Amino acid sequence: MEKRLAILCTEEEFSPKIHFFDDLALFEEEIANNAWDTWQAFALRLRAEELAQRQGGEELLVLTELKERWEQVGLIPYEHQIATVKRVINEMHGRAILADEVGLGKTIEAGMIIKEYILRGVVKKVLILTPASLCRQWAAELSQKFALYPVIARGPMDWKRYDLIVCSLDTAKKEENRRELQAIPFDLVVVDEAHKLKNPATLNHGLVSGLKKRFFLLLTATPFQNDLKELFNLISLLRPGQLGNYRAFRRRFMKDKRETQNTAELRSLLQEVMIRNRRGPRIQLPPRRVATLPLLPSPVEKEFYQAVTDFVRREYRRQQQAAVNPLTLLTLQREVCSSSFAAAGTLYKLCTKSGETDGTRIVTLLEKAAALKENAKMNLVEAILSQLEKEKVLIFTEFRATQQYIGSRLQRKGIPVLSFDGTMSASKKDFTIHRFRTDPRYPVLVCTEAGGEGINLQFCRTMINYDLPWNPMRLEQRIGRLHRLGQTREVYVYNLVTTGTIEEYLLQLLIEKVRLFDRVIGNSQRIIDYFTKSSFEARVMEALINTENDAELSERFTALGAEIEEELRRAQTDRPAGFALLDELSTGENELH
Amino acid sequence: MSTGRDESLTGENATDIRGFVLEALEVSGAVFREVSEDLILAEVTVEIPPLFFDPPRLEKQSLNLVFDPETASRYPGAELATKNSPRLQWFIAGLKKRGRLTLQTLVSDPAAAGEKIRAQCPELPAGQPHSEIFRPWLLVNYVVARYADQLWEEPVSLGIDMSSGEIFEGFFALLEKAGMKPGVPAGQIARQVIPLEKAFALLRGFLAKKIAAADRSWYKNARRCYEEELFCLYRYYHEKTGISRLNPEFTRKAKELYEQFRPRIEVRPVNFGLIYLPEFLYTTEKGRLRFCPLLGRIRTGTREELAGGEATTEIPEAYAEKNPEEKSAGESSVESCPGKSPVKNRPGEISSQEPAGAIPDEEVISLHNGKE
Repeated sequence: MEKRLAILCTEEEFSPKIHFFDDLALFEEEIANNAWDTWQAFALRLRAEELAQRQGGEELLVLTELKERWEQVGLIPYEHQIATVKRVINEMHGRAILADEVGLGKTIEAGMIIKEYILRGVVKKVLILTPASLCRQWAAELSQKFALYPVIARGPMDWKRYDLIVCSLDTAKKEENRRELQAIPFDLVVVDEAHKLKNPATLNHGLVSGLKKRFFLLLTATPFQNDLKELFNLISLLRPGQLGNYRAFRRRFMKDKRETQNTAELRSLLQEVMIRNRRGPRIQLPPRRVATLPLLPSPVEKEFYQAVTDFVRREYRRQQQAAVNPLTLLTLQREVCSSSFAAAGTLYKLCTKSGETDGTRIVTLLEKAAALKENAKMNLVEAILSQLEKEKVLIFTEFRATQQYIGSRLQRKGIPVLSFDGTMSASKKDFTIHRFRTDPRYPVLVCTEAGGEGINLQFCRTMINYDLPWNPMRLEQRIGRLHRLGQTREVYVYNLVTTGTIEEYLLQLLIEKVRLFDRVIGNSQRIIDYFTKSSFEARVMEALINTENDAELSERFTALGAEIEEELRRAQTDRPAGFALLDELSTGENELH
Repeated sequence: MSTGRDESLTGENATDIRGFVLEALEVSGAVFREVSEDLILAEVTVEIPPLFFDPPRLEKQSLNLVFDPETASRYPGAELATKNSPRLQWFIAGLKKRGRLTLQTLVSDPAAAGEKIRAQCPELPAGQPHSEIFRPWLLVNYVVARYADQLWEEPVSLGIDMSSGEIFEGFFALLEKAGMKPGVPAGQIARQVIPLEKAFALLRGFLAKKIAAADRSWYKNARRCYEEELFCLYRYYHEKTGISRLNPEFTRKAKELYEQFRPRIEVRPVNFGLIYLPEFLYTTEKGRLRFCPLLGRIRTGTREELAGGEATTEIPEAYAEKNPEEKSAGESSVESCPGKSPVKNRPGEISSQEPAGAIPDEEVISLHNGKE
């Protein structure tokens, strides 16, 4: 081994080669062109070069470079983020796993590292791999916060053409793209949600392992979930050999697949390649204040809601014989909870597709929707706004039709409104946020959930949930737009809930069982998985479909609440020793006291 | 620094940057007003890229500039020009189009030169007749960049006497303190003996030697890191199997690591100057003296040797292997300017005082990448 390794790093291999870029021909051409300049300009040119001079070292250039921009966009770099960037660059040679808990700003840390390396002149070609749903968010964060303008790559033409590329893992791993990507020497590769690389047998892992890269960042809040082998695989992807080979790792560090042994030694090895910042007393978000405002629907609204719910129940139970797709029924039920206008859109589409019998029933529903010119919820919104002078208010809804109704109703009242939704271009989104933040003439932003993904509005502290998403994680995401690092004031959340609808039960569940408004949920992957993978929305729909009256519905929701409570309890207590290992990684300086 | 600048010039405090910006505005012909020590108002002409307008469109833009973060809040809307700030980068980028080449003559002052030479040669009588000749020098300011997994840049300023091949380090700093006037001098000019191509080669040789003699800790550290990483990689792929057959993954990742830590040096010229330096020729009983006031040097030689620099036609083939302080061919003696001690380098900087190393300046075959 010694002999071979000696060959791989001989003295000559590490003697720096000198490359001269003094082009005599160019110099002679300049003389021939009489390109003489004054002595002052000559001296100034040299001075400019000295000012732009790049030096490795402890000091982070990114902090001064982006100071003004961060003030404009309201980004405050936290001590733990600065310490992380310094450690990755100065101690870990740009190869690290950033494993901060959810919400502590892994993306900000990665953005700072990318920018710092670019400013230092050592990185030019960068590839960022993310899940498809996060590509736009990454591009937006990099442009808004770091003055970096990546291209969201779609195909083989993009890889060589651009230096800063954001791409979904799914796109990158396609055969034609993978081959091209693995031939390009990247200066820096960043992989977000890197737990997707835990299995070496997958295409994801194969793609990333095969990329040529000098610096390498893996971002994940959950370096492993169930099996210590996942942790081994991730570390070995970053730095093969850090934990030895798998056989040695298993023998030395694994009691079983979830329990560790020789934990202190393992922790020390992990700390060399992984940084995990955790919440602690140092980072305390301001409290959330929640007001649930029940409202009575008008008799016509109540009748419409009931008619649509009956239709949905009946169709859902018909299963295979149903004229309408179950997913459409789920959407329709959520829409009718939001506004008659949202439901009307789906009813209209169903009208045009359905047979005669069903069509008649649907047309009847559509007529009822069309008869509703106003929704009672808006009276409440206007009442809230009238009490919030000069305060910026964010109104969230799930549906664009509801968004348009809210906008037009407020305009009629003389309240200028900005709208924000998923169909807008990135530049229009930027402009709208900028205007909402800076222009006092626009106190209200009405936002759809798709549009609001990834935006940060810490300058605003009041939000109205015009309707409720049926998934608690999505509700958490909404609140997270305001209630996040950088928010300095108490956050006020107003929930509008129409009595007698399924929303009433759902909200009670979220308040009492999930305790959603008291704390940040989703710190644990187990909870995230529970609410996403098991399709919580479908469980709510089941409760509605399989009950005949309010008493039965209430009983169903009680059972669901008990299940959630149990899941939350397990997330807190049923953590294998491996998790404790990760938690202990952050003791000391990484614990945000 | 090797340009010979003092700390106050290389430090990037608010006053330095303010001075730089003021000069940049002046050089660009912009209208500006120094409202106070903190604030400068300027109107600059900005070019809209030719992508949109052909020919490029010019627009006026107003700038309110402050330089001290502490006082910036007093001037709402003003832009902060500090080290690495976008506005300072904008000025720096703008200057890339200027000051690439200059043609200057050092202002001659025979009286001051007479006093200087008599300080070194007291036997030379006052009023000794002399003649004046201008010798052409090529000034090149370089940036030497050292790369491993980090990058360090350092300015180096060299002047080469185009008649003798002598190289002087820190040339710009010397000239900066002296008076310059644009263009070719009116008096007698020494013949340029060295073609540009040769001058470039000599400068390269000088730099290569200087780099070889410099602090090597940066690439030794890089090598240490590389070896650590390589050993780690070995543990993963070959601890059990040995290396009788190298795993291709091991080889590929080893190359990746080599690319991360591989040290290399890039030398990039920033700008060039053709500079004429006055020299005074004195005839004494012992022979002829040639005195360069800027360098404070007296050279002695026979009449032929010193006649207008014509005698310095023989350029030593391996000049680059000589220290610039050493004699040049065709000169009978070279004396150092009194009080001009060798430049002291700061730790980590390239220094010509340290023993020469063995960095090959020819191409090197890399086991990882084939021919570099």
